[in-house]
Amino acid sequence: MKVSLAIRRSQGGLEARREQFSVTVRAGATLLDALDQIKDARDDSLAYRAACGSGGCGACGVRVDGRSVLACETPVAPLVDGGHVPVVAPLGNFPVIRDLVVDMEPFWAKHRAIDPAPRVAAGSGAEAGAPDEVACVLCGVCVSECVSLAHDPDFLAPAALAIARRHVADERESERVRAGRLANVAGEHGAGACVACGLCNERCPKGVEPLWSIAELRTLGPGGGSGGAGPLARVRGLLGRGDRSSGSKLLTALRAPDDDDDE
Amino acid sequence: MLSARDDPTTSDPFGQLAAHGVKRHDVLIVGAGIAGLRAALAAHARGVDVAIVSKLHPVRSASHAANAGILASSDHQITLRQLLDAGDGLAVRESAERLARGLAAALRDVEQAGGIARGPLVGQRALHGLHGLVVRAAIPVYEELQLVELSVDGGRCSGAIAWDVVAGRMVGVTAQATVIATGGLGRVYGATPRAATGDGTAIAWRAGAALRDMEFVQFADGSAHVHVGGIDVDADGRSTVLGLYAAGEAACSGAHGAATLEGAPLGEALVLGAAAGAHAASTVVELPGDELVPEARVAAAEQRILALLGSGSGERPSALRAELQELMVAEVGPLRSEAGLERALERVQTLRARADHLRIDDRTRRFNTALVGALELESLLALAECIVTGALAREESRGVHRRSDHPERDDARFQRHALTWCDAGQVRLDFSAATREAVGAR
Amino acid sequence: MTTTMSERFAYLADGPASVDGAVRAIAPALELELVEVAADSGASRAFDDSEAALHLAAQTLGLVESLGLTRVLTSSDAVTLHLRRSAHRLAADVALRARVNARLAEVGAPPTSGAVDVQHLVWELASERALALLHEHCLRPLEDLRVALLRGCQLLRPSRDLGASEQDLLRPLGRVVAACGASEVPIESGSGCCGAACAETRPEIALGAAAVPLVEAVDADAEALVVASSRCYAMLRDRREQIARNVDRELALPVLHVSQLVALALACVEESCSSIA
Repeated sequence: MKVSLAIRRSQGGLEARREQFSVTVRAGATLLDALDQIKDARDDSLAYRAACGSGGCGACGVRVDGRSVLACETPVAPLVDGGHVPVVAPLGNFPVIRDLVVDMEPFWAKHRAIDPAPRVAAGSGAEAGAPDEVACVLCGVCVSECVSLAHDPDFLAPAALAIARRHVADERESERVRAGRLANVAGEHGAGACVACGLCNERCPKGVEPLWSIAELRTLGPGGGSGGAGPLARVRGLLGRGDRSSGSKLLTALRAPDDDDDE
Repeated sequence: MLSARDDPTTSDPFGQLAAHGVKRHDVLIVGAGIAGLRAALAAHARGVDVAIVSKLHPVRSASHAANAGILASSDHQITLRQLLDAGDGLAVRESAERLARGLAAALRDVEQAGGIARGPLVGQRALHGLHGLVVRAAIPVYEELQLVELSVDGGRCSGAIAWDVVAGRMVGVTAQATVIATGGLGRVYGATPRAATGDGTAIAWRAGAALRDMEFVQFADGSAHVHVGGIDVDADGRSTVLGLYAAGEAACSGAHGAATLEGAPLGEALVLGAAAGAHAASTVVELPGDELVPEARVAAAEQRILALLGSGSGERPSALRAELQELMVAEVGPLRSEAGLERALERVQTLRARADHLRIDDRTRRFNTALVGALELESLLALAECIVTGALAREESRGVHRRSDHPERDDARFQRHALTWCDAGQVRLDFSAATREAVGAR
Repeated sequence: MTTTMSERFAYLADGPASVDGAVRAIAPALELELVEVAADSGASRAFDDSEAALHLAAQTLGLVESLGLTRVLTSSDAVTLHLRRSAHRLAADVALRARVNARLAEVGAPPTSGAVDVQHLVWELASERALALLHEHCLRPLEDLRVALLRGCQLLRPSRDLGASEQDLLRPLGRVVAACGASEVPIESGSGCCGAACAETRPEIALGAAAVPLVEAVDADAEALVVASSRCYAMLRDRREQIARNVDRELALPVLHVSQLVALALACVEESCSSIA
């Protein structure tokens, strides 16, 4: 099968340019296979990352026609359907090192910032169950798509927040550790900066749903409905108009067991 | 079409031509998979200054795919017996015993870090968890550095020299102890992950370390699955070179003998990784050395690499690699024969000679993955020759090594370890004395 | 129009008044029988208090069911997503449903089965049935009108929670616009985000996001930006000046909710939503 790709290339601070390559690939080839073919047969200077080639390591994230994907898991045939020449570009929201290779350091810095390992005492056994977020391969696809990050480069962004939620849900951790984690993701650039556009869930190649992880962090965090100081004040703030009073009654009932200062 | 060769601005876009330097740490870990991270944590726990060099970010390591689980052991005597049985007469009792005894603690450590013994994502959960602990310990990780040489002088390893792929320059790291944890070599057979090119194994061999039982390659569904052989180490991960250690799939402690038990490789990555890291840290205290990786040596390594860039007349590394993989699958797979192995040996040697003249069009220093491919090819070819040489010499069938022309196990001649040495770049193979400590069920 | 042919919905009239007015105005021609329900769906706190949001959704769904209705119509993307997801969770998880219904009982609210079909207005307008009626009643085809479209994040994503593929979810707004006779001017951010969810907490993010579709629509020479969600409508209409100031651009482009575009096409604009004329 003949495949043409228009690849966005750049290096050394030079302006990016688009270069078109045509190669022949086997039926069922992935986008990564096509890139390999270009590199091996056409131009060995094409730079991209790949490590496992089977969807597990998260190294080969790129954008195809604006959509972020793992190249090794993306069949190339549908991309070139009807003679279309897809544009292959580096992940968005990252500085570019060369061609399709981006500088992941801002991403890793955020990953480090959320303390990405359980803080549990020795002998506390295994983590209960398998939280959805353990499937995250830290590929950066969600971060590439993130709307909030495009407008706030310091936003912790969906991947780090999803991992944070995993640890918050780890019942082996103490309340104090959990409160620290929640405070850590509750700042200006934390979970509250999410615009809830849902692109992270939609594009995640591993089925992780950072949007819902973020909702849970916000809910449990100091500004959220279920934790921190002053939930009652917020409930009172909800006291609605007309028919909505039953909603407020419901909220008050929900809070009652937790609020010492309830009337 | 504008190629990098026509672009005059790309030969040194970041002005780093002479910027190579030498870093210094007590213990250097090469490779950041489960074994490497575990070794780093063990060394760190003993209060020494440890750093990791890895060609991949830790979470990209092949360990993520180690999904056979972690061998569980409620009774280490039973587990020891299972290991010795699986080892088919070639398991080293001391290593197997250390593994069997260490499994329970290893699993507890991994669970604490968010890992599990079996089930989905075993490898990934252990890898990510250990990485998280390395982050918390603030252990420096030099990412995307491709190991090029080990600095060995007077029989002692004083660190490593690696190519910084992102910056496009050579870096030296001085360390009193170096642990090789660069993983397997499935790429010799074209298997995934593509990063499993056995760099550390090949470079340790070139630096004088012995490799053991290289012919034992475990296959699954027809592709290379686990390399049973590797850098010859004892139960503390010590290689035959002072100050040089190995752990994980790169190493061969003998715990597995001639075949691995399901879950044992990941178990050993943890147990031997911890042992090697701990012993490496003790070396720092007990055998202080003041050898530095010489800056001139770093510069020379850089010159050797740069000479490859833009070299025009030879063959592409990718083409030679493909040829090698096809050959290894055809002649050195699960069932081998003298005729096939002799053909393979001749062709591998020819490929090694052809690889002296490689063609790399990309002249850019920064993120030159064609160059990385050439370095990896060098490792793949050397390791392939070691495997073929061992497979040819071992005229018996044992464990995962199967010879159609020698279908029986032959203890009289081959209850010995095959040790492979580098002799001026050539493969030299000796068999050890008969392994009295090795026990296995018939 | 006969009652047997009309589609009966509970309508959550919680959008801006001009949107709810337009929806009321177009309903008869499109044979939509709307039973207005005043209830807090909980959507506005779905990301800050997920537990309360779930209970409010359950209460809304229970109320709808107690009225003998099985379908809900809303003009908001956020309400659509939140109610659909909540209904699905409540229907699928018996234990969760029992726990939530117990709470509803405490405040005297009727229980929910979760078996409520939540539809967004634009999906209903894009049904074959409604499109046929729209063609039939379109008195003032908007043939000369070139519009850019903003489809609404939470009408597209997460598609798993919305119960359709993202590709399918992209189509309805364009179909309705075409049925009104208007022509679509493509913009890159048509499936992007207006930032509304952050408008209070991180206004600079919200304003930055909101500027993108407006700037693209202006640059593409669109005469109006048609939005599927009343939430995007409120964001882009109410904060237009701030958005424009923030990017230092003139963004004097009319923003229409899809119900208003349909009202224009049906020529019922004078009676119902003169504010947009």
